[in-house]
Amino acid sequence: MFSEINTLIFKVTRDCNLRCKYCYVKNKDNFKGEIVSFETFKDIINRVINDRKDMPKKNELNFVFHGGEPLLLGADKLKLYLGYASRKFLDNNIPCRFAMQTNLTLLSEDILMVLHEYNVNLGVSFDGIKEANWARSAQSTDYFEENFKLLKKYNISFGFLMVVHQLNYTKVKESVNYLINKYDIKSIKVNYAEDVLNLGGSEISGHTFFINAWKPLLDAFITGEHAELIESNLQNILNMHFRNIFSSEGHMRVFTGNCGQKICGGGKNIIEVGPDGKAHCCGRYSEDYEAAYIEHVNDKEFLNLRQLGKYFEMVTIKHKIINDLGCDLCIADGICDHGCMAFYYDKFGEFGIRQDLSCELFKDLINYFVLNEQKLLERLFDSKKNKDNTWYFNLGVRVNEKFLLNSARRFPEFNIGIDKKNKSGHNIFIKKKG
Amino acid sequence: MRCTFCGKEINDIKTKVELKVSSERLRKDEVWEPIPNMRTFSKETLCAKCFAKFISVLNTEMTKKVGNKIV
Repeated sequence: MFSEINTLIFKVTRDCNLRCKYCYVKNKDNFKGEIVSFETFKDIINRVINDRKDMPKKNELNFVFHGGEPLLLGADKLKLYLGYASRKFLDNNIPCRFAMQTNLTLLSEDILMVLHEYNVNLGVSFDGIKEANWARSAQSTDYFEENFKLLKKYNISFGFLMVVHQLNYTKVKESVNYLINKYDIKSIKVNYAEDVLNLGGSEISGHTFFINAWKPLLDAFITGEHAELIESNLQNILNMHFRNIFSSEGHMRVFTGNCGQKICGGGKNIIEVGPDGKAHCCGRYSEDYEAAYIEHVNDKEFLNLRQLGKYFEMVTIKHKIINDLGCDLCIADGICDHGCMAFYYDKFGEFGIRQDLSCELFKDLINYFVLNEQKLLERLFDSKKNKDNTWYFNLGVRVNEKFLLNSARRFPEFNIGIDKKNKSGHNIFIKKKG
Repeated sequence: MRCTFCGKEINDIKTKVELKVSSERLRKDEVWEPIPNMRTFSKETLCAKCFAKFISVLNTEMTKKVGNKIV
């Protein structure tokens, strides 16, 4: 089950000290005080080792402590668990990096020492300055600032996840600029909220999200106000767009991935394991649904067949949905991720695509890309060129020269061709004329 | 060497079984589109008893017989 995954979402607990208005975990009050036992944790680690130790390609595993709130573990247990996993992975030659998604409200000096010791990379949930963060916590911006300073002081690497909803959608760019100016961030993830528990009051439409969140960040990139395209989803999607232009294969037909794919990697590249040792296709399922359940870590699997069978169920369902909605003929087909399957299931009890979110958002986005294609390529070139004023762009597949030259005509200010020095035949060069 | 299914020590015959999968979907425009995440590989090393069981299960489930002929 774990042999080919790149990310293990390890839910330490489903309990949390906060009650964010848009959280997808159902019935959190039922899990008060829940913490994974050390015995179950050891079972999880040993199963990972057993599944991965004989694999010919030893890719790095991203082991994410998640929740609920993972810092509810406390410093002593965190050290015990990280120490055990770290030693076992090292002894069995399993490359692994540890990460954690946290609301950062339970920090202590002891916890900071442990995070530092095991080089844990933090994803910090922060929805913006002042009232923009109030759907998560009533704590002031100054309070979070003190915690960000502590992370810097202990040399802990951290990034930000901002969820956009009705209370903060007008403040996205202001909040991102604050983080750039204060912490010199190079990347941030800005996702839209999905009201999976049907509580009302958190969601905005895909169009409103685009106009207020992603478009201002794209505009800031184009005008040079931001040196980089700061939003990580947009970085990936824009690369995807230009891969589609220059490669006859198309990004979605070539690249594996987790989120952001036409048929996501939930269940194949990502597995979630809960505090009871049960594994599911993704950490975004809010309950122990049969539709997403793979097996217990102590079960015995043969040729990964249970995982493969579960993932194949997902593939056939997604294929049918794509067919029924006519996505193959949509203008946004080359870049659209069709939204989150898990969140859709959480909300509606079946699988589907949110036309009010995904379709609106990705149609707006592809329209923006097309209308600003020249400027976007120019700015990407500026941010990626080397000292010889050339950008080498890996398309991930052997380049079809005729197709490339035909596409390159759309960009008369650039010389674009195959990088013949690169033996893989996957690289193209992009050089500005004059 | 232990059998990866039953865990018992193998001291006579070991058999490697590998499963390599790749899938494509037929788009509305009648193009076969690869599903990158469906490219997968898994393997087991089985003792004689587990391999015989494996063959037997496949044989029972996946072979169609008409009279004495396999079709």
